[in-house]
Amino acid sequence: MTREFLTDEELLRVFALLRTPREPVRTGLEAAPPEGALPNSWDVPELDLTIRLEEAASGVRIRLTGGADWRGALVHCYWNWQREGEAPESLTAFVLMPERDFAGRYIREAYIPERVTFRPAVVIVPRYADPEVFLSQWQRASVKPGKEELRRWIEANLQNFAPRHRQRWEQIRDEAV
Amino acid sequence: MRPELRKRFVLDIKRRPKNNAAEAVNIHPGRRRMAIFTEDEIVEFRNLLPRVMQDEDAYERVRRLLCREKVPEALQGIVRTQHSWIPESDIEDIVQDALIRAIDREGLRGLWENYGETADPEIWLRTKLRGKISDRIRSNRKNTGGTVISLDDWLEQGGQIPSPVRPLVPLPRQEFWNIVRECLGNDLDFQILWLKIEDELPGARIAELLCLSPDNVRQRFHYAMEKLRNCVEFIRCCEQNGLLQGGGADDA
Repeated sequence: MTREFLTDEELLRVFALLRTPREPVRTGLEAAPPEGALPNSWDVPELDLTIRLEEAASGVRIRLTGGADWRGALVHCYWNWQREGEAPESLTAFVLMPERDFAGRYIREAYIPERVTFRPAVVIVPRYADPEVFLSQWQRASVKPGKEELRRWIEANLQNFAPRHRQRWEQIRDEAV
Repeated sequence: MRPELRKRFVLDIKRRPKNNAAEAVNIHPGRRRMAIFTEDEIVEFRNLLPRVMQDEDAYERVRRLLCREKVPEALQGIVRTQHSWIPESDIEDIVQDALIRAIDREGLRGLWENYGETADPEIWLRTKLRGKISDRIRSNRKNTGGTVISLDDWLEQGGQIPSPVRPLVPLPRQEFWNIVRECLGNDLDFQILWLKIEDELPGARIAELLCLSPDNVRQRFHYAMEKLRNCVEFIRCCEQNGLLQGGGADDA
């Protein structure tokens, strides 16, 4: 008979086992092989997403290929690393996925001005996003779409944002930071 | 605790007649066997929730629903079953405090904004109860110098989950994640858990990435944990893959 509930300890145990085994803490921009090699690609079926990094000038080009959930999504990417003896560093990028698909997939590329070779954390900015937090992250990001694209994304999602945030989203749209 | 709230909405447990606090509800994908609220009550809750900020009557009805006779007794049962380390003499206070938190208007507004028509009154109550119990665990740890990691600690910290257990056979990870997604029934909660498990990010960083406040992430995380820990399909998958060998300890 199936049990009624799981304890905290059991949940933590299951989560530890769910995690995909990978290299430990990244100690440099260019992690040890095979993650240090470019191009590098990760297929993440749980997210219906493929992430690819290719060499480009002095940085990398990231290509995101996603399924239906990624259509028109504003994606927030995050890399963090720490060189030995130095403070931790990080880089964030916003990438706006297209509305049109190519053979059922939504694909977008962006240039990242650092030679990051390992997989970023990737999220879809949700409709519950707090506009003030978003603004702060937007201003921090090294890579982001143009003002017009931001305006269009806000406009397309305005009715989905939390009602108490809508006015502020409209302001951000109109000011086009 | 405000005395007028306690007096008005929370009956003295000793005077309450014994009754069955649980009825089966078939609304969510991860169905629980027994539930506190009937389907009609859940629908009523969801209909009233969007109006709690501006409509005094709607708020009053939500409070009454959450503080119905059967509710404190059901919550006490949960504490006895899942946290047997808590002394019987403390259970009533913990439940009462959880109910006070659950009927907080701002909290209810947040519940509606975060979950809309999928907001579940039982999950909400369990989340508030869990919060009170986490406070108790933290307090106990301070007094006894214990170091057991809690879900709260894990959310706040970055890095790997401390666990000596390793699977004997490869886990069907995608199957697990599909079940997690179905049990959570919410893409944002799924993203939070994914970032926590796969990217090992601390709660504050998760909040920044998702452009949410840290409080919102914390609340959503705990709400999601309550869904998962009681999700029949998830539990079954864990059992079938031998992840629950050796049983679970209490959370003290």
